[in-house]
Amino acid sequence: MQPETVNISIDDSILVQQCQRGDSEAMERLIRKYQNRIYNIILKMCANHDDAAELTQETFVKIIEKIDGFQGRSSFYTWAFRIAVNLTLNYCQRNVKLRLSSLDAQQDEHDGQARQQLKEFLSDDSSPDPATVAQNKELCELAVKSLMKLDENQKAVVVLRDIEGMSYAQIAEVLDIELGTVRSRLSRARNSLREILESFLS
Amino acid sequence: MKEESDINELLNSFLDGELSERQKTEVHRLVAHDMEIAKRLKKLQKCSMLVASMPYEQAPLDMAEQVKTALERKALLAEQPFAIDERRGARHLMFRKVFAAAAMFILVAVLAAVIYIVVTPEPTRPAIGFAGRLELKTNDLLAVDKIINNVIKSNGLEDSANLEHQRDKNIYTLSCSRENLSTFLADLENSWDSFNSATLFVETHTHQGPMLVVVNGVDAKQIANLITPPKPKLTAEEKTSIELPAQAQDEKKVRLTIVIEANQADN
Repeated sequence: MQPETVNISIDDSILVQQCQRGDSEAMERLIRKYQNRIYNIILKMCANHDDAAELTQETFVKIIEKIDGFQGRSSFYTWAFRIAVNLTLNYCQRNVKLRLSSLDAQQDEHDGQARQQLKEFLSDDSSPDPATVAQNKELCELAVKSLMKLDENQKAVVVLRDIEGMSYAQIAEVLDIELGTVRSRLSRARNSLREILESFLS
Repeated sequence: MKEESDINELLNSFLDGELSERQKTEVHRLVAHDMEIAKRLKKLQKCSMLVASMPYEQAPLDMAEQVKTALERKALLAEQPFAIDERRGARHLMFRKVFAAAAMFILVAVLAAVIYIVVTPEPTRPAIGFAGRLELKTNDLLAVDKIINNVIKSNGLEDSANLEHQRDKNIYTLSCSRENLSTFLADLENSWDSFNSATLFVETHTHQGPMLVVVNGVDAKQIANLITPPKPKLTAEEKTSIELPAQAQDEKKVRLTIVIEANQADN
């Protein structure tokens, strides 16, 4: 995990320098390199494909507009994700009422099969295979709905950690918070997530 | 409660590989000795796994193109308000120029009107150059009447004269040019001794309003001077420039009403 991050950073610094010189090809390479990762964390936070695409596009537009001012004090990776997360958090705060009512309407749609699968998943003492879980559509849908019920800031730390696989230090940099805050926020977020999932069973 | 949250944080950090070796050993010890903590760790692990196992989605394939288009659109929009502002500015500037010109024009017009009112004299009656009433008293009304008639005829003013006979008085009204009236008065001058008295009444207009000027013991020459006041000496250039108004002045008709009245003694 650690060596991969270092490699990305080295490549990024070269691409960033080329971008700052107005190299449109370097800009395109940066976009292609990060588009799926940024799109994914945005999608998991806003749960809407169209909005995620638009926010991803907006993120890259902002990155390119601001790249001249990027001085490399933080890594390009965390800087870019900070832009993406901030845009998404603003979007989520604007649309919170609409999203919550939409989720409430969907809550009753959980059929018995999904509940049963969730019950088995949570009560199983053995360690389930992540690949098998990923193939379980019902469980994944429940995961999305649970995530959407989290507070925006809690959701951001969970997504950055569990989807993007960021270290606590990177999350602290992206969200511009203390390391201890990341630790406590993530702890509360996962606890809330567990409670939400268990509430689906009741 | 604080201890509970500390353990939760410790378990989460353990799951995320964010603990030191000493802390990891501590977690292993806790899990091994406390089934509740072991179950909690399991649940946290599953929550984390569930989130992590959510499908990894691909961004739209044309994302780079979309970004490029968005940047171009934004650049165009950034230019457009400037252009709009520029046009608005030009319109505003033009409006200000027109407004300033109109204000200046109105100001000049008002000033001109004020100056005109201050400088120009009070208007006089332009329809007629001179209008007066000459009252002549005589002991011999018939003789004087004959003299007047003769002078009118000798000057060819029959068409310009109007005669009205009243008891003890004859009233002649002459409406003619200044020149004709002057000639008439010059001819009458020789017979002026026939009048016992001659009084001229002239209505004029002053700043205070209409005023009646009475000249007692007036003679023919004085009346002629009143009718044709002496012209100021003008330069050649001035003469040219005021030639037409001067002619117009001469062409204005004058009116003199002559009242010949018999003296009381005559009655």
